[in-house]
Amino acid sequence: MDVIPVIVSGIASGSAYALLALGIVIIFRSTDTVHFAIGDTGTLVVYIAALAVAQGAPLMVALVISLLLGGLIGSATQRLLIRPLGHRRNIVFIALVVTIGLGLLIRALIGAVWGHQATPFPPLISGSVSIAGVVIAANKLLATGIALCAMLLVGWFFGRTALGAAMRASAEDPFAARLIGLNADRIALLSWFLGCSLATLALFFLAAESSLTPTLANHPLFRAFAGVFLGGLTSMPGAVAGGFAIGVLDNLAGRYVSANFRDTIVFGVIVAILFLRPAGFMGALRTERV
Amino acid sequence: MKGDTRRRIAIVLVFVLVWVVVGRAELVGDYGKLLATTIAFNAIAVLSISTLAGATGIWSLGHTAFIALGAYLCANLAKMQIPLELIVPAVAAAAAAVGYFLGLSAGRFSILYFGLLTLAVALTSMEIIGRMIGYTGGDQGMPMPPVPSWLLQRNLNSRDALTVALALGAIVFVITDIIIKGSRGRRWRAIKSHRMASISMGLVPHQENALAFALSAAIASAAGIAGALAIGYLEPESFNLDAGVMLIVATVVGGIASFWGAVLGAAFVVGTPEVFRGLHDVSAFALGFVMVAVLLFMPRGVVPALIALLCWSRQRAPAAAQAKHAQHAQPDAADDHEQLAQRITALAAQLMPAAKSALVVENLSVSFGGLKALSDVSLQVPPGQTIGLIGPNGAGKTTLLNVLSGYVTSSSCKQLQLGQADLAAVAHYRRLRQGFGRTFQHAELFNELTIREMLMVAASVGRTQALGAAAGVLTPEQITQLILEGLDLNEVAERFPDELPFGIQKVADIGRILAIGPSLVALDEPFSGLDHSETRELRAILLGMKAAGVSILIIDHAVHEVFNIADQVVVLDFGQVIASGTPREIQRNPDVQRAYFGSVAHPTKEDAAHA
Repeated sequence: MDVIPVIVSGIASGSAYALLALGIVIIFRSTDTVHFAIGDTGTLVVYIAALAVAQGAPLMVALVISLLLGGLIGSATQRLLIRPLGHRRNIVFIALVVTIGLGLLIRALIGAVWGHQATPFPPLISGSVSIAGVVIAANKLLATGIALCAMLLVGWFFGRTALGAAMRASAEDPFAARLIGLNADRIALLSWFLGCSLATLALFFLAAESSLTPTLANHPLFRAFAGVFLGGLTSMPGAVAGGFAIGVLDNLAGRYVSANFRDTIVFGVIVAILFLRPAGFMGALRTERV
Repeated sequence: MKGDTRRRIAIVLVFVLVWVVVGRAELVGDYGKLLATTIAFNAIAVLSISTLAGATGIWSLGHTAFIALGAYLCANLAKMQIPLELIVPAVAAAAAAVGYFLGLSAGRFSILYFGLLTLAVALTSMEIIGRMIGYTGGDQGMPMPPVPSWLLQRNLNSRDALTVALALGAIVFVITDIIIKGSRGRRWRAIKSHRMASISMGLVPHQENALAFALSAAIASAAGIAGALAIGYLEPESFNLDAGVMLIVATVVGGIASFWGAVLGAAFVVGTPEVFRGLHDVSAFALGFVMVAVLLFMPRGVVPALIALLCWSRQRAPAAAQAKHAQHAQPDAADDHEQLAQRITALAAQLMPAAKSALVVENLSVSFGGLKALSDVSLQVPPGQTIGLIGPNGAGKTTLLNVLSGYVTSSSCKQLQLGQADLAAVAHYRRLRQGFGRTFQHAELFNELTIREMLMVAASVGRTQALGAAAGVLTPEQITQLILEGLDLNEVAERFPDELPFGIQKVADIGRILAIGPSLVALDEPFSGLDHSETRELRAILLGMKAAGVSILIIDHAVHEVFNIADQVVVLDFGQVIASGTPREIQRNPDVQRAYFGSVAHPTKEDAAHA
């Protein structure tokens, strides 16, 4: 039986989906925006990081700068594109469509500046490790470890710090949060910073795993969305669990059913699960107010 | 009505004109023809997205799947020598069926999940196209076989593509316009504007959304047929997610739910890459940039923004001013008041059915997290009686109403019956069928429906559900007219709610309940926000309902009005019933006084002193 190796490598790829999913959920909770360009933001930043690396910057430094830059682009997106939309009716879909447009813009920008050829991106560490009979690139393992640390850090931030609690309160009830003096604008900026930063972390390692292309984020982003469906759009632990579950499910489907129907199987399973739990496993259905 | 016909004729004329100029007169070369054909089938595709967005608020990323379905089905049916005239309806029906099924499945989720699930549909369809090589040619694609035409008695060739695209376009645009402007479209707009209020009228959002999804899937499949004939070769690339994003760009730029918007949007996404030929990234950049800019500065799209700009100076401003002044005919003499009251009373009595069954609530408790909003509340509304429910803010009145409406689920409840029906076991959109109707504190009308359209939906959909066979001989049009006249709403009949003062909106909400005709009406703060004459009018309506034998549950802060009209009054405080009885008894109850005024007065002592 080779089910263990399949699961192990599923968890390893799932960590990237989980990071993206977590970013999507943090942003959605703060501003009701499904950020379709979150992956493309990360891709753009990794292209810039590649420039820095080519200039001789150490990879570790490039990673730290990338996370900051990704976060800043995220905050700028919220400030310049999302906040001006205001509070119209049906704003959820309008904001979603704006981010689709932004994704188009970023991909075109990357294509124009760097071209469409795949460019290699160096891993943080080279070599490989054997776990449970499966050989995994050491870099992928490191990526999983860093991703887990990042998630724990996010969990600690939201669970244990005053600012994190304020952000949770603001997500629950923006109006009440404003009443007790929380600055919703600043909280929104911070959420977008955090969300896009996490996405950049995911893309940084994904780029090393394959190579840099303008559409690098497409495939993982769809998986991340699948994870978000599974966990519910409003639950951070749900998104993480969903991301990992999709990684494993994807690998199982590819190994045991058919490599050609991976998307179909993954989404089929999700739709089936959503039938049982329309809000995802941990999310809450948003109730309308009278 | 007249304007609708004129618009439809204009749409057809545009298509005929393009056909004559581009197709017949040979004014443009083959390149121009191809461009026109491409714009035409893209316009149909854009219409499918914009119809869905306009009718339901859902943006679909997955409609390329239905375009692909149309194209590949058309190719395979043509292989069997089936003529185009049969292919089109067959393919449209198949796409509609698939769309309805998917829509019904996705309709269980919030519309946001619905939109995201369309993404999954697109991805899945790409994999299926890639694998069903026998029917699709797989990743290599397949050439389009010759398509026979029954009308032309020959096979269609690439020169006929323009004709087919334009003819399909004309048909699809006119049919869509008829559906969207008709009674089905009114229902969709009602649900889109206010989901809860539409549910209280008995509309079933997930079914209606599935129908809208089916329509837009059928439109998309027609675009697929036209596109397949024009391009002559089918390959999966044409139906990938990028293509779906392009359709979204076109819809956003052109503006939703608009004929010219769809055409302009299609021209934009077809034309931009032509202008920047060979510069793929520049054209993609331009598309993305224009889309974001339009969303930021012209949120409704270019065409609606232009129309608004054109009309604004001429019509909109005076119209709005006029509406502000369009108060009810103010009767100045007391006699007129009497007559108005009698007329409204008679109208309410005519439209509302007598109640036969009682509403019984027994030991109802609701908690939100740790907070108990209602605990062990019991009350009854006997048939034909009016029960007043009063209590300070936060006493749980609205929560109780929301449990009755089905928007909030009780944590525990011994009994929640309306007649024979166990209300708690019935979905919220089916409660009207048991005779339960309600009004809203803030009117909650439908922003995308005029007052007349709203009454029409209420009188057709709502009334059939509330009354069934007992709906009587009046047509929805007649009922609407009676209400418009009876409540003096004629002047504002063609206006949208947000153009009207709040008082008129509340009267229109009452009009809606008259049009529906439930046997039990729950009124959520009907008197709040009304001026003196509107209060009188409402009082007359309530008296009319009472006279007709309707059961009424009235929740309000206007204690005086409630005492005047109610047979029995129930007082809630901190989620518990603290008193119930006739208005007189309640007025003297010391607990009630304490709940309302704190421990100020000691009425019992004073009463004793006076006595």
